[in-house]
Amino acid sequence: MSNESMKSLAAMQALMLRDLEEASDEQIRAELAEDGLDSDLVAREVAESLDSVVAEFMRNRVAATKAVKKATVSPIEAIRPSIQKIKEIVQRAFEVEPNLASAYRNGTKQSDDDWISTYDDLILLGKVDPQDHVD
Amino acid sequence: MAVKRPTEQNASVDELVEAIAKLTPEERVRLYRSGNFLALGSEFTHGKDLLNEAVKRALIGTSGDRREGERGRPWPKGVHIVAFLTECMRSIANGSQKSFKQAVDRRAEALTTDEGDGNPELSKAQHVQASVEAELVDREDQETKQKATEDDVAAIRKLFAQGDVVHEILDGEAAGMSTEDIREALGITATEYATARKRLRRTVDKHMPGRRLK
Repeated sequence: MSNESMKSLAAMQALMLRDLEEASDEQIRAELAEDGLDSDLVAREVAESLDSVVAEFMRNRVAATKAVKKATVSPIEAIRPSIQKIKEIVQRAFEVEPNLASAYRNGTKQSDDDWISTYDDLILLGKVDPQDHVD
Repeated sequence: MAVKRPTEQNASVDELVEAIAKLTPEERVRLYRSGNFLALGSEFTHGKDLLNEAVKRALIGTSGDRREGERGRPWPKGVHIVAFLTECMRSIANGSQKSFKQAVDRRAEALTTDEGDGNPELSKAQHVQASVEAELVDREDQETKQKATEDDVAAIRKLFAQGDVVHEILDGEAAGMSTEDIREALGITATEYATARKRLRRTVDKHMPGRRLK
């Protein structure tokens, strides 16, 4: 990019951002409507998009932690409580750490296997102590 | 996985995630609009992609868990989240524009030792092949980006008639003049300046909702 183009682009961006900063929320809402865009829809789409980025980040971190812990933690199948109890434990863990829940959010109905797998993950991650939930 | 603890100044990942979740609809719309402006001249075709990248890097930087090839920027708690994400977007977009120079610098570094001598681990043929091939690919890529950016700038300029005060305000801003100096040089009032600036923003909003012209 030529120096002139870069300076021109930076000037355009600086002017537009300053103007946007000074515009009121009502004005921006009215402008979106003028451009044929629904302000609520735009806000919702941005929220969903950011939510996916956060969820992906959390998933990656959980996967990395799991990979490390799996090598050192012994199998836990024998000490699993009932499926109903597992659901309660997982829901309680997510209430305590909502950010963790975003790593598992996939928008679909959870099968019993999903609940069990999530429960196992939470144990691996040290978020749930299996000794606390023996039936 | 070594995770750094947040400092007093920098937020924790939980605090950042919470701040992102608590963005108001108005703040999200502002970030959307800002992203579209900042994506101009970058590799991002839409502001939303640029915003997503900014959030991703903020998460990486704030977690302190940066893996190979990842780039991150921690969120200092004292900075408003909207201002922080806007600056992240600006920085990423600028980095995207300058990536060619960085790639050349990295390659030059790889081809030499710490003392600046030729790296003995690479044969002469490897040196030549790696540098020539990579440089050709990068140059071609950069030329494409450069052309696209110049096209974007030219396309926006063309949206305003010759002699329009918007061009002169842009030139003054590009030359590093203050708002007052530009107004004085052009002999325009604060209201006329604000009107022209708004006209620039709204024209770009309407004609370039993403990076490319409608």
